[in-house]
Amino acid sequence: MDEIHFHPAGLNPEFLDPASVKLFWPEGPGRIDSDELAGSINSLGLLRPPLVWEAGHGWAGENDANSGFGPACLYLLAGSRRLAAVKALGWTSLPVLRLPPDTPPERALALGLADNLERGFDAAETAVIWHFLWNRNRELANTLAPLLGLARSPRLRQWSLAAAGLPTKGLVALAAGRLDLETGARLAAWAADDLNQILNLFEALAPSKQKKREWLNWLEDLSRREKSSPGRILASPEIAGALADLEHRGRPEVENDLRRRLWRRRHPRLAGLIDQREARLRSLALPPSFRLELDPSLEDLSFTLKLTFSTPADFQRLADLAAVLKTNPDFLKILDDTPNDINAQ
Amino acid sequence: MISMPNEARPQSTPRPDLPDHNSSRLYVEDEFKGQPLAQRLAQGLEPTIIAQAGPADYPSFGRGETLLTRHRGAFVKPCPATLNYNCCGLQIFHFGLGCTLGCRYCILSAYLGTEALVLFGNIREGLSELREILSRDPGSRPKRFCTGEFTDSLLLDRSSGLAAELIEMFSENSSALLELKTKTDYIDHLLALDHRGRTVISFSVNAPEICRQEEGRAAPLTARLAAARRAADAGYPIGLHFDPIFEYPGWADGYARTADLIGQHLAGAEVAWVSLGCFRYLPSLKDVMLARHPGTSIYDAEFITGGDGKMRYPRPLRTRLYRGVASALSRVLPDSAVIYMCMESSRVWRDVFGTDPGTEGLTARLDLRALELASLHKISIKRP
Repeated sequence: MDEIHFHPAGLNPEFLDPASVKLFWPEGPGRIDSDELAGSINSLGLLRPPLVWEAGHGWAGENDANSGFGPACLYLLAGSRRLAAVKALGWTSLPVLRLPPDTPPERALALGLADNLERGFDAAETAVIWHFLWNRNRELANTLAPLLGLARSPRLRQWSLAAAGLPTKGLVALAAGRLDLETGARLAAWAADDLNQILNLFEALAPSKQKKREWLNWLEDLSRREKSSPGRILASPEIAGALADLEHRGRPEVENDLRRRLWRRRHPRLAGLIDQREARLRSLALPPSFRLELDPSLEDLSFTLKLTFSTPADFQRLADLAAVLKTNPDFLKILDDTPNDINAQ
Repeated sequence: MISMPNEARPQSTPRPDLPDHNSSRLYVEDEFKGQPLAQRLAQGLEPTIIAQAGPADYPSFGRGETLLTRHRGAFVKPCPATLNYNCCGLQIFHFGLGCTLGCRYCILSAYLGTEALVLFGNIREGLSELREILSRDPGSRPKRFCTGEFTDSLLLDRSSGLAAELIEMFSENSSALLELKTKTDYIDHLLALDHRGRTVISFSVNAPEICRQEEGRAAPLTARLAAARRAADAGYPIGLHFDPIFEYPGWADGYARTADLIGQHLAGAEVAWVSLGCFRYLPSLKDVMLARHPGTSIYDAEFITGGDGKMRYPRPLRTRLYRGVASALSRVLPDSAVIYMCMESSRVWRDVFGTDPGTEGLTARLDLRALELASLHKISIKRP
């Protein structure tokens, strides 16, 4: 982006009633807690005055009645936590740096974002600010994208735009890092009830990012196939049963159980095939020292046999077992299954 | 921003919704602005001239946009074969990327990251490269070449005129064969060419329901087969590609109907080869396609991750599908017909055909067929 030539350090602080300042940027859920900052301000004073700007120059959504923007207002471009802190402390006079009214919007907004860079934006803040900018002025949004860490990736911008539509609960999870941006963007398209259920599930089990995506994939696939919804699928006894007795069984066990149940419901024919092969394998009653590994993909590009032995005699016993096994019909059936083993559609 | 008039389609099925090359915007790299190809694509209108656009820029061009750009790399390259699966050893002549037909399974969407069409303005360099390869000792160079791997061979051809040049080049060579693969019926401009049987015109075919529901603006199945008939009448060997084969309720009947239609349109001897390939896709394709076509159910089936990282039907199911389609084809094609599977494992080859040729054997078998066709020295078709 263009270099910012104007620096607010050249401004003299002036004092305003904190209640007279409106927030310019939409609030991310992670910005609410200002207690610690209030304590610091109470003991050390306000070291850096917030930055305000008289918007009203035809940019800041003056036609958007719902936004509260208006031509005669003063808007806070940087320092929302400081503002919240001094309000909490009961201050009636707030030192601010006021940008000149003729400051071009792109510079004013860039200064506002740059002032926040020091503490960094969380993913939820990035999403809601990007959504705010994109919906008001796309050209300006593109100019300011580097200050939000969205300079290079169209995909990140797309996800941020979508994730901004999450309800507060989702934004809180996004801000806290319990939800990644891609998953958040995807969940923003879910109906409220479905979203609530899956967020509760994520909250309870804290699965990895990869597992979250895997579960969402299966739930969305199942919803399409069964003409149902993720929430109804999660609430069905077959799936919900996995969550029983979470306290005693512990997260890992419940998570594995849930994953297994979701996978089997999504892949009933594959599950049938695998069950069949595992039953055949069990029927061979092979000792632990003679371990035949089946290809879970069923591609059977190769089979793996692991022999564990410590003496020539051990090895001979395993070799004898292999010699017998090669004529065992169940063993051959494992190596040479047929299309009839998969259920017809 | 320009719009271009439709080109006349004298004998092809009227498909006013088919986009052909007529994009809403044509972008031409500065160095190609005066070239005949740019003029033919623009149809006399002013394109937008741009400085340069490399592969990294392709995703910034979107649906309805065509880009004429420089290709920086080899024009002739082997088919992007994948690990663990037998490949037929075809060589790709790379003249462009992308397709506007809108098939809901199109792997190009995941490969290319753009819905735009990309054509290479320096195609003369590509033709020189190909000519040089064809001039080498036939015993040590590839025998079969095609253009339809990263785009449809004939979708743009009535404007680009590339196929005619390639057909002429291959007509002079008795030890190499060109294959043009298409889902259109835009073949009439090629019928009067003196091809000497050294170009196979291939049609991607599928069960009628799949053609209707999943293949976007591609020509209807009967139109493709009618075009195959016209091409066969003009002496071209015909290739048929059942790829991708889908499992859906009634699939066996569907593919049998297509086999019957093939039998009604073509004689077995006119068919150069038939390939079979079950539906498979890169994992990233699913999200792209479901966003574009939320109504499609083809991604709701059960898939495993294959040895090449692609999502595939489980092996026993693929075997069942291949056996079904091969059996239907056996009713309309002679025993000597060359039927092969595209990118399948040795195990599936053995289960379907009782033998595994491996990549080398499959390549050799198809090369032999190509040489048979190329050396027939068919009598030139009389020009009208």
